[in-house]
Amino acid sequence: MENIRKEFEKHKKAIAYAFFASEENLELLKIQREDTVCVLHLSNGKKLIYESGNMKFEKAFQKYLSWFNQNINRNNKQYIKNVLSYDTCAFMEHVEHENVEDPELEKEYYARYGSLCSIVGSLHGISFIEKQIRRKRQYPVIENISELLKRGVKFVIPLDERQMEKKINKETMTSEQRDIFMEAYGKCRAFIEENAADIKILISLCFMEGKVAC
Amino acid sequence: MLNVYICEDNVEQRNRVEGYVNEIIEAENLDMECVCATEDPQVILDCVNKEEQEGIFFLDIDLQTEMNGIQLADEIRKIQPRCYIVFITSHSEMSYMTFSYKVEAMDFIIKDNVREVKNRLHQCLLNCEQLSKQSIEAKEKNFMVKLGDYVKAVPFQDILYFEVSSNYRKVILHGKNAKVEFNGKIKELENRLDNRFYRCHRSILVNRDNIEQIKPEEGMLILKGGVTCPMSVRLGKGLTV
Repeated sequence: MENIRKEFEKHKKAIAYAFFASEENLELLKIQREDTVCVLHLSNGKKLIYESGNMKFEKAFQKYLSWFNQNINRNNKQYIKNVLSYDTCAFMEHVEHENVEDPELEKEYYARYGSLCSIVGSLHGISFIEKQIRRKRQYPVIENISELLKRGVKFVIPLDERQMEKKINKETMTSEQRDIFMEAYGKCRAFIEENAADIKILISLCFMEGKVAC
Repeated sequence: MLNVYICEDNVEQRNRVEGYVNEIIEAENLDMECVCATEDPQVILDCVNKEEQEGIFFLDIDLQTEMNGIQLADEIRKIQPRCYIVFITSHSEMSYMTFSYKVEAMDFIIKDNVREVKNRLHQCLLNCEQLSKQSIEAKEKNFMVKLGDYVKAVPFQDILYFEVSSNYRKVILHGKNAKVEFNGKIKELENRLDNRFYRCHRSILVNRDNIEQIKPEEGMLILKGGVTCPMSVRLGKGLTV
């Protein structure tokens, strides 16, 4: 805990700049331990995730998502988390779970969720990621990407629609939600299949800093 | 000190990027200085020709001149092969990605989201500083191990691998001629050392320069002198790409 406080103090100015538009007098009030990370409770009422590593997967994955935001689903972008990563520790924005009743936002959520499963699937990740999802209004946000990519990153074509349909938890989605999810999943999967060569380069740029070919 | 260069034809965007770079340098107290922000690629090349110190280059792709950002990157690489190049562009087309790959760009940042631009610039500057530190360490010839009240120098070329010790917070250095146990964590070593050292197993950090054979099916590496060390199937893949 003392080490976390020291790291926070050391990077406090940069944290304030990166996450809170240079708020002054930012203090660390409480450290809450979770499975693999710590949640930092700050004096401005906000929270941050702390990890005693460099969060390289998280950083790379946010880059990967950002490229998909530009090239597919421009109107249905994925949420990009802010990450500040150093040699021996990293800080990341804490995403609060926030449900929403609006039927339009509900549809958007399931469309984004479908695309996100396809994107994670393209990295040889676990294909259906229900347990790792935190919902922020219309955005599905992955809590811990390292957990999903624990088999290592390599390019694969995501599962086809029939295989994916079998994996969906039918108890947690209505048939309408499932249809929206599957449509977005299929669209994103087709895009990945069509652009496989480029996406391999993208993986290399994001996850290996362009140094190693996939 | 690392010099930062910005080449962007749009004055508003150039000022914004320069502003962010200066703010980040200040917030992180980085050993860097923004020495040139211009719309003219030739000005960048003139500066680079005068400067021996490697730099960080934030380049727009469409510069509205005869030379585009990719050609500029190519020219810069000829003068400074080890510099850091980042493209900042409004284009997300894949062809640009391929070019980024060919010139070994560190990143390609799409301009349209201000929050993301700021965050990615921040991360790029931190990465450059880390890589620059590593490259300075790589130039050093010895690994210094603190053993009680004295420090032992082990030449990097003599290190076969580091291994997590069964003793709490200790690491064992397996050298060609010696074996030493010292206080430390394998993760910290991995972050501190350069790319010669690779984490081929949860508890092993191997010196690639001393690998003679890789035996993935046996989960084993054979190092110089016939020494063997374990390798995990998953992490070992990074050695065979």
